[in-house]
Amino acid sequence: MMPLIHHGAFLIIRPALLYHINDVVQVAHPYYGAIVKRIVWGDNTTGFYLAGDSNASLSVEQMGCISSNQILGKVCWIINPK
Amino acid sequence: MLFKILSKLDSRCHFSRVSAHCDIPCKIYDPISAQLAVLTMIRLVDLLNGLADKSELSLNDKAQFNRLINEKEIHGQKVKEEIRIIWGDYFKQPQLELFPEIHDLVHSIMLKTSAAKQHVDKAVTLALLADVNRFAEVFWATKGVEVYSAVSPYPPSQTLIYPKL
Repeated sequence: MMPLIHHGAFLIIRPALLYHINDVVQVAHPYYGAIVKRIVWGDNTTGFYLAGDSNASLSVEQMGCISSNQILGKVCWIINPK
Repeated sequence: MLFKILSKLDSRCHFSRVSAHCDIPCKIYDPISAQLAVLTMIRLVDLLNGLADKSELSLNDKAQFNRLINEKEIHGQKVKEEIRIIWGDYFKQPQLELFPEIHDLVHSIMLKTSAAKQHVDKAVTLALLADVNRFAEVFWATKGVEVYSAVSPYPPSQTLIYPKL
């Protein structure tokens, strides 16, 4: 998630009732485990598609469709290392 | 300041971890896998043409035919996958500006690989090798690595582009 989130950053994550495109969220992914990605498409009924900000990140297709109950919370605050 | 406080808290409380980099940015790219896959396709075409010279195929010949065709398909897919990964993941704006031909070249490789999968045609596989060799030349040029061409020391004894490392 570079350049937004640096390696070792602290994140304050809070569950939300609704999630929106462009939200950075924590996801319990069935294959990749606990990951942080950005919502690039979808909504709370159809499911969400996510992508990383970095070019080296996984593609939307690799991550697949994510349901809202797999999203554990929205990143509210990022404290990057100085 | 805040980061330091949180770091100290983390060392005591052990906050839960999440990963933001779920893909490994390993930066290990090398076109040699694609080049070897094309060589394999050429070799398989040679072996298939050897079977074509026989007047009648035995049961073992037929089994061999199926195996060779299957392997040609697999290695065709490998060529496409290897080239697509380097093109999609390694080539970025600076490399694209240096070699704007790369998009057409990659598309040509995809088409020629399809043709090489569809037919048992040595000329098509050789044309594919020429494209993949050019791709290797461009790839190494973006890294500032000189290349040389040499005949592979194993069948089908075709010329490959190698980096001077």
